[in-house]
Amino acid sequence: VPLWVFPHLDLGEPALPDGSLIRRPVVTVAARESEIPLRAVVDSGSPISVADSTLFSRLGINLGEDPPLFEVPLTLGGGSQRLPVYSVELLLQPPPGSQDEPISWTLQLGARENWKLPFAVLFGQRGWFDRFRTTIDGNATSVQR
Amino acid sequence: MDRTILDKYRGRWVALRADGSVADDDEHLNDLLDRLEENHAVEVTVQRIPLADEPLFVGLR
Repeated sequence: VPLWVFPHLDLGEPALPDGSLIRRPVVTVAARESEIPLRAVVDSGSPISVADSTLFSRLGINLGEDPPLFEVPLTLGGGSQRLPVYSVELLLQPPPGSQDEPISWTLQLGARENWKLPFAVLFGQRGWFDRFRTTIDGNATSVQR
Repeated sequence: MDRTILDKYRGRWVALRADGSVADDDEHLNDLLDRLEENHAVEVTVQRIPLADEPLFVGLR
């Protein structure tokens, strides 16, 4: 099965007290082919996937009017709120240097207001791991397409 | 990421070129994306640069 290997990235977070940099498992996604790609962190400990609410308007979803699939209470980045979850379609971009085409998939994605994390999307068990067989080691994220 | 340029952009959304340089930045993600699309920006990737004293994100609950 073809693998896409995404090297972990330093997202500019403050270094640890011993000076070591934080490197995150990062992939790149877009709302559609013509949209600007956003960095997303893959987190196997997260039960759901969540994104900055801005992404939803790019997907044609009106958070104030369109009914979500469901809502979940969530704490993320220090703040707690009820989170509407929608069914959306995203494009996973190939890793740097690859000539492969992006992959489209449909996932459940929660919309978070007041996002303050260094990535615009957080992929968890539902939305990512239920679609992509993924191996994360100390250096890279390997994704079976 | 070129850490020598980080301090200038902390707390802002940035569009990064493949070489790690910043093509554009904004306080608001939507405004940055709108401008990038108007300018037909290609081969950039967008993320937020965290503040120097922001707590470390370790999980979702």
